[in-house]
Amino acid sequence: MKIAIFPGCVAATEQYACELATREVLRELGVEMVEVPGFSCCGWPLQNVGTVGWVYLAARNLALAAEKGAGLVTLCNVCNRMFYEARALMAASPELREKISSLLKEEGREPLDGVEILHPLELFHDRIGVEEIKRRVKRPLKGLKLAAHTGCQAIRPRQLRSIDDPEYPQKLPRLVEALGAQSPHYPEALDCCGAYLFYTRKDASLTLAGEKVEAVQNWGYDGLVTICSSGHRMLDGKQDSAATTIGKVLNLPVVYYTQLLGLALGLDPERLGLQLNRSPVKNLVGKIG
Amino acid sequence: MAGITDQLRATKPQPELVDKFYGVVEKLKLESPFHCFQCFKCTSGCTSFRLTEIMPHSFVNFVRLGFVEDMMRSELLWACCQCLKCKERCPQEVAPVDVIFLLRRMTVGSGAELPEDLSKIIMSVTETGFIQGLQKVKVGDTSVDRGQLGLPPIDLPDLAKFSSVLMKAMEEQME
Repeated sequence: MKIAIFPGCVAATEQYACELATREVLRELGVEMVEVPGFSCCGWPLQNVGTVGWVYLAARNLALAAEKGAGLVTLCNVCNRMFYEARALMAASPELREKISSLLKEEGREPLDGVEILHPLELFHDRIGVEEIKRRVKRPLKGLKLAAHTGCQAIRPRQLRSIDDPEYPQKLPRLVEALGAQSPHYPEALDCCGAYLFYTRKDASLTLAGEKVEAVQNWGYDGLVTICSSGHRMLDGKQDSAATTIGKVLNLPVVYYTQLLGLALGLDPERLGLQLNRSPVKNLVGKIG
Repeated sequence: MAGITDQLRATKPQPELVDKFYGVVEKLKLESPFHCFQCFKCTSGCTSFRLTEIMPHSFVNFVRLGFVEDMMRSELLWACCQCLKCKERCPQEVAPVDVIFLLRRMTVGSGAELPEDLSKIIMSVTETGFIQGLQKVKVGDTSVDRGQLGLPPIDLPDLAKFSSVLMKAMEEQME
């Protein structure tokens, strides 16, 4: 299994802990990683202005991975969906496919099909497997109660691909429990982080993030676990602004699943980028025996 | 003299835009709003409806009735947070979110301005390949970049070529 990490804009330019922790845990778990220079944005923002531009960006990134014979693991839920959607649109419309092919040729590329697009949930839960992860745990996260935030774009719509159940996602809670913690369901589990409202309705976006964090905090969880760089950026990175927006005190530790996994595998917190989290993760790390 | 009936008649269906809309739906094999039977399931589960006045079923209905331009002009087009619950849950397999995004593309294509922050990240993608430049992030009192954290470089090798092909792609329209 050769894997190329597709960071997407948020992890590539700002959420460095996401890529750091993913690289560290994959190395530790013996997953072979391939470097693919030249990855760009997946195309999401351009979806607001036209179809050809964004599908071209998605297809270009897929072609780059195909040239290296690598599967892609996406660090952002949106990128994952855009890749599948671009493929579906090109399959549905020969006219679009033709346009994309000729654009890629200008860069000396071919549209290559068949690149495997993996979500981290698929990689950890379905490929590496819950049992293998359990077996590798050196520092069990006993006594911790953690809420899982799978994120909207990973699980919907089900017609596009099936990463987890769109109404009751269970893979992330199961992966958290594999590390020795508890991850019971909560009513707000499907609530949106607000990431893609940030560029058009900032207040509403921060309200969504703030209300999600507040709910998890009020249920008495020790922290919130994310698996998407865009969601994490809202719930961890913008937790302070979200608190101001909703007029509440928020101090919930928010960690990437890969950071949590790394801690359970006994890796150095600094190599997992925990010093980069903006929420009070020390409160959480301190509870690990 | 403008009475209430005149005001009600102020908007008429726009057949040209309707044709344009359904032309794209046909070309890209999108779900047709025509199948909607107005059960409101999309609006009752809409994330943004809690905070704004957006009603996905209403966008679908007005388009179905031919009032495409009215919907293109609606400020609420930009209140969708793309949680995709409407697309997932529609019993008729209509995708209100796709209707909203197609309307966004049509309105931008007709010369309307994008919300400022969205416009900024789109400009950045065309110029650098990413929604923003590489940020320095805070660690205690100092700030660090990708390289200092031991992450591999992410810059695009041939940025000028990338930008020119992307600009060309953006000029090609399906809408």
